[in-house]
Amino acid sequence: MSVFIKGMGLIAPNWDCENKKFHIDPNSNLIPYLTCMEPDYKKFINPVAIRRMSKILKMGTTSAKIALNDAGLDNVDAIVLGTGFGCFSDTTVFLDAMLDNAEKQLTPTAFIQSTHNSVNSQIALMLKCNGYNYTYSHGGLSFENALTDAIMLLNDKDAENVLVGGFDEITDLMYTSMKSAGWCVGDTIFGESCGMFVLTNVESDFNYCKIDDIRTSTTEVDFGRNIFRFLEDNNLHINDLDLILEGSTDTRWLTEQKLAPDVPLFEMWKHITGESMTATVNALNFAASIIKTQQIPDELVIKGRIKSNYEKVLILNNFRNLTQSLILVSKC
Amino acid sequence: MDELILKVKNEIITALKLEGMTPDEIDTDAPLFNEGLGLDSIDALELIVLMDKNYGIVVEDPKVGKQALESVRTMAEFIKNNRKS
Repeated sequence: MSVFIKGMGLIAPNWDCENKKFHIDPNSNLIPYLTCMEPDYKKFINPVAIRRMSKILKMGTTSAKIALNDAGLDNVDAIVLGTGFGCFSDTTVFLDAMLDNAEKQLTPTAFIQSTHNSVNSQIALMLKCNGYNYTYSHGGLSFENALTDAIMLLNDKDAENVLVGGFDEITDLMYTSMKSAGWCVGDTIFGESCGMFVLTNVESDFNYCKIDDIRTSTTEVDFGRNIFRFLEDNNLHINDLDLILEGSTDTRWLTEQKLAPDVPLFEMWKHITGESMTATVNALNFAASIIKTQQIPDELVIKGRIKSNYEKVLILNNFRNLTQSLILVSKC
Repeated sequence: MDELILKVKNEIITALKLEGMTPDEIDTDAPLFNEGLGLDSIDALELIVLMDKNYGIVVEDPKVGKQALESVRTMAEFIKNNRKS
C-alpha cells in the first residue's frame, strides 16, 4: 500500500510559516546556533491554552495545526512523533526549581510539560484525539522511527490519516553541553525545528508526494554501499534520481566519493536548517514541496544540472556518524 | 489591605503567565475559577505553591484552600490572617 504526504507544517530557522516564505539567512546572528522563526502563536492556538505552554509546546501544537489545516482535516487517527531531547527547556526549569527549593514548593506546570511526550499529549488534547499516541526518542533516528511506525499503521490499515513529526528545541545550556561533549565538530551548526506531516493511505491529486521507502542504520557502515543497496531494492539506479538531499554535519560523502556525479545535489542542507536529532523533518519538507511545486527555491544552491522534472528524490541524513537514514519520496 | 490585594494580583499575573493582563483588569471580588478569570485545577496548585513560597502558608485542608481561593479578596484576607513571612 502506498503512503502519501497530505499536509505539512514546519517551524524552522529558515521558514516563515505565517507568510509561507523561505529565508536563507538564519535569524540568529548573535548566537552560535539556529533558532526558529516563530509565528504569532495566538493566530493558531487558543490564547487561554497558550499562556501555560513552553516554546516547544507552542511550536508543536502550532505546526500540527498548520499541517492539519493544510490537509483539510479536523482530526487524525493517530499521533506519532519523534524527539531527541524532548521538552528540554521545561526539564531544566523543573530541575532548577528542585535544586533551588530543596525539592519543595514545586509548581506543576514545568513538571507536566517536561516529559518527552508532552507535545504528543498537548496535540491530542487540542484535537480531542483519543487514538494511538506514541513518542519515539531514539537519538538521531527519532523522527525516522516515528515515520516508520506511521507507515506501518497506514500499511496495516489501522489508520487512514496519521500525524507524524519530529521536534527538538535548543537552549544555551543544551548548546554548551553539546559543545563540552565534543559534538560541535568541523563546521557543524546546531539548530532547532519542528516539522509535522499528515500521512494518508488514500490517493488524491492534492497529496504532496508518495513515501516509497525508508531505511535506517545504527552501525558504522559503508554509507555509499548502503545507498546503492537501498536503491537496488527499490529497482532504481542512482541516475534515476532527480535530486539528492544530502544531510551531514561535516562530511560530503557523495561529492568526495563521486557517487552520483550526474544527479542534482542539495549538499549540506543542515547548514541551513541546523543540526538536531530530528533535522530530517526539514529535508522531508523540502523534498515534498519540490515534488509538489516542481520548483526549487532560488535560495537553495543545487550542485549539478538542474532538471525540469522532479519525480524521485532521495533524502540522506547522517547524525554524528552514529546513525544514518535514507528516505525515498516520489511524485504521486 | 488594598496594597496587599494589588500585590496578590501582580503575583497571580506572574505565576499564571497571564500575559497582557494588568491588575486593574482583575475584578477583586469575581470568582477565580470557572467564571471570572477562568482558572483551572493546575492554576489552583500554582496558587497554593505561591502562598507557600511567598508567605510561608501551607494549606493542608482542601476545604480551607477552596474557600481561600474563591476570589482575589478572599485570597488576600487568607494571606493577611495566616502569613508567616
